Amino acid sequence: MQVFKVFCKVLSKHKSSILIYIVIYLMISLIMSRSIQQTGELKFTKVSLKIAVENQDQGEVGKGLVAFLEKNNKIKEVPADQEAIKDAMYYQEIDYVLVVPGNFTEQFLLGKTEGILEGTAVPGSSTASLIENEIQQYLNTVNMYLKAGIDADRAVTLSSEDMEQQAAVEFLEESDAQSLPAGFYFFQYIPYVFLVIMILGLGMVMNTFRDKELAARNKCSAMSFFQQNLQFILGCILFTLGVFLFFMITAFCLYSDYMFSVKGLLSAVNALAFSVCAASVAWFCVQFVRSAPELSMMSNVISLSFSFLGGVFVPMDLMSDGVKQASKFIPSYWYMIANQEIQKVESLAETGGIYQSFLIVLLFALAFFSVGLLVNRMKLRTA
Amino acid sequence: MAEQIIEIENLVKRYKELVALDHLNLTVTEGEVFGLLGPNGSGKTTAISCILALLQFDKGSVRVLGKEMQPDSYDIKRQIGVVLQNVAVFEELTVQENIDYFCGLYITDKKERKQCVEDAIVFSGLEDFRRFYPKKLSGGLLRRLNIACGIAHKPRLIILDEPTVAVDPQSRNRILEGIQKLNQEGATIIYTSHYMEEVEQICTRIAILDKGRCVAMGTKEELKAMIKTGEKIHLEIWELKPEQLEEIRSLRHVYQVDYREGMLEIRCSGGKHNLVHILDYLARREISFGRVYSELPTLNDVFLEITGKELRDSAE
Repeated sequence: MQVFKVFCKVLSKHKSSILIYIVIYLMISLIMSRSIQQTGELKFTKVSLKIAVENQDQGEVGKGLVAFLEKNNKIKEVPADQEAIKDAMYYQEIDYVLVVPGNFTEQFLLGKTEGILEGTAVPGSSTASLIENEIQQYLNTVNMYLKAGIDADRAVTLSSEDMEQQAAVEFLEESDAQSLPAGFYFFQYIPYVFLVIMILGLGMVMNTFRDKELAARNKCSAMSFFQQNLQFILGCILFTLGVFLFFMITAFCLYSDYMFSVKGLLSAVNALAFSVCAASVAWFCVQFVRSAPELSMMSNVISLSFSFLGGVFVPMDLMSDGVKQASKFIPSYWYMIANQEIQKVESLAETGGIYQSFLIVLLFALAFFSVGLLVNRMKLRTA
Repeated sequence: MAEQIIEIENLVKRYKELVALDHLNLTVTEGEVFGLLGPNGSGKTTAISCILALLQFDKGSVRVLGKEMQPDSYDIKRQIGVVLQNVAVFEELTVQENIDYFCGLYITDKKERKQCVEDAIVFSGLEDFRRFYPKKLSGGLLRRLNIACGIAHKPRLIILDEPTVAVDPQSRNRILEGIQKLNQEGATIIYTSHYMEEVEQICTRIAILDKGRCVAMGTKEELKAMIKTGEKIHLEIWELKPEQLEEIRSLRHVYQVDYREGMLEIRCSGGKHNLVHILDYLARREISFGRVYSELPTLNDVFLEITGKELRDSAE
């Protein structure tokens, strides 16, 4: 098993660069799944603001406005002077200062709506626009009733009632964050990391053994070409399986619930098919490089371009139709299609189209391997 | 009678229009150190590649150890050690691991292999570098490692293709001594080199290739006898008239006279007492001279006379 042993030794020399990609991948997938889930939980929160109100108006509209604001916010006393107001705002003790002038109701009833209230907020703060929007909404409602011929007292009462009403909102389609399990994100980025690892790992070993002088020396030896190839292929298979198993074990540790479901099983099969394809892509890439730095560069170019075009990093919904059509010619697209379809599956009986995607990924593997073999033969002939 | 280790008959190898080997005939007998000489592009490496079945040839036959050589002749390959022109070792393996790997392609028994690896390390003087990676080795050490990888399995036939390129004199000397030692231990050696003095030092028989053909073959003495030059005489003469030069050229056995920057080189085709005749002529003409020395032709003279002096830059 000389060839196999050297295969492992050469591979182990490149383990640090492979490990870096694994660690980066695990960190990104963990952070992504956690952050997306957290943003999903905090989708809507009613905000209660701290407003300092000084009501100098004894009219109905002024009183009504203050009463309305009291219902949804915390009303505080207005600080003594301008300096104290600034301090209170700086230390976020209050978000807004509202002064209702003595002639507010009078002015409002005369039809004036602009510049009849005095408001102070931290410049550029979002809370200011939130409060001003709330005040404007209330005053518009009162104004509407007044214009309809209803007296001020009644208009204020009706407006307060209207503003208390709440609409029940129901989402027709739940967001991704709510519907997709965390395990989905683990499998979403698999094409990128598999391509990088296979091209870097397998590619480096293949590149070493393809060295013209070493290949000639191996050919001169007493070990048959078949034996040498057999040991080499064994190395490739074990490495591919090893990478696949490592990620599956990690998935079991991090997302055991997902992995013990039908979705987890299908995701694992999808990843296995893609790992075979990534190994084949590595073989294909090696035919076009002559040195380790070239291979390293190619691993980044291929993995990133396949990932971006395949919808790994950018949701497919954001891609134009033209790009989507082009993406159909790369395996990561079909992996992602399968990965999305898997999320809709509840039992193994309803997996129809997914197997087709698996098969397409495997056909890509065969295509890359065959073209690589052809290029290899042509190069040997012209050497 | 010694066994014919290699028999090449009418070997033809073409690269499209280029004829790399043109009906080459060669035989190497057991126990020889056989030198393969030739200018760049003469077909040395192609011939070796055909012997090792690394290349398919168009015509002719190659028999190694009495059997037709084929890519799957593993029983023959088991008895051949190869040291190629360029260093072929794994950068990722240490000196010992490299030798063990290549030895393991021939010897499967672990105990036997361990001993062979150790012997190869000692033979190439790499005892202090067994844990070193090739990147850390000097050019000479790297060449020695290259040789150790090729001979560790103790082959019967060793093919060395320019093993001393870019090596310092000390390392070269060590390598040449090693090759002679391998030969003394019973291995047949095929040695190609551009360094004539190396070939002259270690080879018992030499073949000169040119344009894919074997243009001369024999022992050093036989080759030297093949050329016109029998003796070269050098004289330091400060002034020499053209008519005097012509008179020297007309002396018996003299066939070439070259006068440049105060040095006169006279080539004689054979005969005895050539130097005496020349000195006698100089005394008669009262031509004063300084240093005088005479030398027999070297392999370099043989090589240049047979293959010509024009530059050969084509790729092999």
